[in-house]
Amino acid sequence: MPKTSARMLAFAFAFAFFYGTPSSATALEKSPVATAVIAHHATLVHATYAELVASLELLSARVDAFVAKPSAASHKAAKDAWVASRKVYGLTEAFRFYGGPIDDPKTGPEGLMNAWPLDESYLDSVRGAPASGVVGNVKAFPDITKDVLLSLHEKDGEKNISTGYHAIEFLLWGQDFNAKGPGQRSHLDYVDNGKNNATRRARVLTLLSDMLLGHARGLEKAWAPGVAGNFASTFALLPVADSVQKILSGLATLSVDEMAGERMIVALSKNDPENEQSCFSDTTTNDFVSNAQGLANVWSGECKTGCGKNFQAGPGLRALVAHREPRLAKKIDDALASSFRLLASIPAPFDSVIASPATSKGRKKAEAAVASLEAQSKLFARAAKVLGVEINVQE
Amino acid sequence: MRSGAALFFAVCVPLTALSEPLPGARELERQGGELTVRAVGATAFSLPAPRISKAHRRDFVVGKSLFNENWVASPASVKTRQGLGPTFNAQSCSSCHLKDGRGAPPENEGDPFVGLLVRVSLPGKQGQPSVPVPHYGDQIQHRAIPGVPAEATVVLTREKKKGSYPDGTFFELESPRYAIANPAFGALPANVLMSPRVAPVVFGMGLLEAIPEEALLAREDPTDSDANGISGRANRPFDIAAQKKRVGRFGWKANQPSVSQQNFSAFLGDLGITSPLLSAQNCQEAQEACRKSFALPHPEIDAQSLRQVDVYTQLLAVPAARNTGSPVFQAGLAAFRQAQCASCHVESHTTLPVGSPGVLPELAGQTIRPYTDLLLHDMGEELADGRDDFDADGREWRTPPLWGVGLVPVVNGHSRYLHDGRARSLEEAILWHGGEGARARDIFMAFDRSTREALLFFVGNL
Repeated sequence: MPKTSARMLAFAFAFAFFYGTPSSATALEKSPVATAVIAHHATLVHATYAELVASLELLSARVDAFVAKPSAASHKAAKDAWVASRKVYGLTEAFRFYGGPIDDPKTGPEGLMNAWPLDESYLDSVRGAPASGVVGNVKAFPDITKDVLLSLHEKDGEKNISTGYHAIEFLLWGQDFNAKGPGQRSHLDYVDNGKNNATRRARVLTLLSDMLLGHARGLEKAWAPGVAGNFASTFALLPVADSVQKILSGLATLSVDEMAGERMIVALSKNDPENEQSCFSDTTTNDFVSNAQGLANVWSGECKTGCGKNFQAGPGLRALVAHREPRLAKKIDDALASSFRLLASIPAPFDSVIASPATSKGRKKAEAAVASLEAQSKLFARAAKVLGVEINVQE
Repeated sequence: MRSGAALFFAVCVPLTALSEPLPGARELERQGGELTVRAVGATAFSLPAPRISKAHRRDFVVGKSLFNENWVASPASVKTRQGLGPTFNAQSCSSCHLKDGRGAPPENEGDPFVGLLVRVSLPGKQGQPSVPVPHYGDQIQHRAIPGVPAEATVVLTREKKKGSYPDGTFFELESPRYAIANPAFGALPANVLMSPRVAPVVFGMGLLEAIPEEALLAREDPTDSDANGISGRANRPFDIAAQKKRVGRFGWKANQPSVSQQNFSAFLGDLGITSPLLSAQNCQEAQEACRKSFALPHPEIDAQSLRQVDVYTQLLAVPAARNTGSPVFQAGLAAFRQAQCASCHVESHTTLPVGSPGVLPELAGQTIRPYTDLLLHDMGEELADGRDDFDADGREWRTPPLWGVGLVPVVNGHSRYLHDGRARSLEEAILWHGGEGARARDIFMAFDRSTREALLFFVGNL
């Protein structure tokens, strides 16, 4: 019935004008400002991913050094590299939520890189299940390869979370049963004593670090300038309104659904100390701050850290909004600054904040940050209206 | 525009024959009442009700997270998301109800089942209700946590089935067959009854729950006393919280009386998550590793979290209908009525008034257009699963709501419809109608091509 579908499609186009075109603003058209904003956005995204690659190259090298010669010092060096890389990753989350290279429904590696919560027992022994996971189950997984890890992650067409930042975090820090600090895994978990599967654990850790680096390289390539057929090349050719819609969707969704909602409201409402993203290392507050910085970067077109030495600031989305409604642009500046300040003031570790009573200082800071993020997303929704694009975040 | 104009002309004759006036474009568009959102992208099914209260907004956010994020095997660091399995079909609600939308059967034979599960039972003796399958229970859980065997896998094969319209246009349908492979606890008896069911869309459930029971029962006609070929009766499953039978509203056979019971039953049956009212792990006697695996000493999801998932599923907004002012949409609705689709896909209902017990304020007093009567109908031999489910017999299915069906391709990337997703388009879904739906199907098939297209345009824009 292809003919039928073609005709149906024709009707759909013919009657499209009955629905959905916002009338409050004239649609965005190609203008020097718009073109510059979109081009600079791609530059900023690419620069951030390049930094991410660099940070993960360092992590991989440190992991290699650690497993080659496990010691408290080489362990700490690997953990430090993870923390540093994670701060760059937080910046890149402002590039999510519009089906770009990171979360393309078919090819996006977001789940492989950042999924949470982790299926700890799929990966390694946990308290109560000492011979668990890929590391512990020698019989089921005689050889550990990238393909084995990937197939576990995608087992049965679904995602078992066993790769990415949090998997590496778990292998470096271990389960966190400690409300005052991070997981207490010892470097001795990587020194073979004949029964602790140290070699297998080391192999998984090395492979996961390499895989994460590979995914980051893929993202850098997707946004690289001057590469025919990559995402950046198609992004540049989209109608202006579509590109702007994507950028704004990312900012608004990260603000309200992910940061305020998923990462804070859920954690605060559940009083479950480990219901936090970076629960093994207790670095969730770093995630908050770098997410907020990532939003500010995309908005302003500036990037003080995380874009490399050669990066030059240019026009961000702000320029487009300011062009139409300078006061709204100023309001968004203030909202972003306020969210950043509040998020940065949440005391670390976040699991202690979650566990503390609702009247505690830390909780109040966190609640204020949530309110600020919610207000900020509404301003982004208003900006969408002003620019004549529709985003699925409410004013 | 020429084809549009021609089409309008072609269907104007039946249009004038109708007695009931067509609703206005705005009324048609706002099919979820005040819970309607104009949303067309991939998140069209995932938005909160526009006027959600501040307190419910928080519950919604938490419920959304519990619905979307994976549950993990216990013991785990995250206390509030542990307890997956021991056996299960999925790790999160959203893995089947992806983006709060519809699941689909595996695209290729041999692909894993995600978003389609198979209920099983054995025929009851002498007209008694069917019974769970020994060692397996009433659903095949095809996955399990490490160290526990999964129950079995289900294998899908398809046969082609050809047909043609009275005007000579050919069509080809795909008829699915299911078989059980790799049974971990011995072969299932040959007379096992299997009922494959895809995950339905999630939004709008709160509104359907708020339709007055009397309004549903008023449409029952078990003996077809008006001789229109359509009977319709309510299922009356057991309400675990109320400890009595109540009218069923949810599930492909209306075997769940409330959003809450639908949710906690799915948590146990599909994810293996125990809850206050279903607190025993789902491990049959013969499944030793399942029974002996690590179990938390308390329900894996608590009452507060369940309530938050309930609020989430109750207050998801309904996407607006599109192009409702267009002549072709209106012509399609007229044809929908003329073919008597609306006898079961009842267009409009009004929810209980504000202040009614158990109804969230956001859901009360809404005039909605879900296109369902929530009743059971005999859908013919070809769609029959042969498996009874409370009062529903093996040929009966609940009329599914039609709101949002046209957005399934946008949200979920497929256009698979009906209880097992066998239809590859809305058109095929209509062609599969049998039993009480046969007459409507025949009228549809007898329409000329442009009228058929108008009807499909209408449904596809709901």
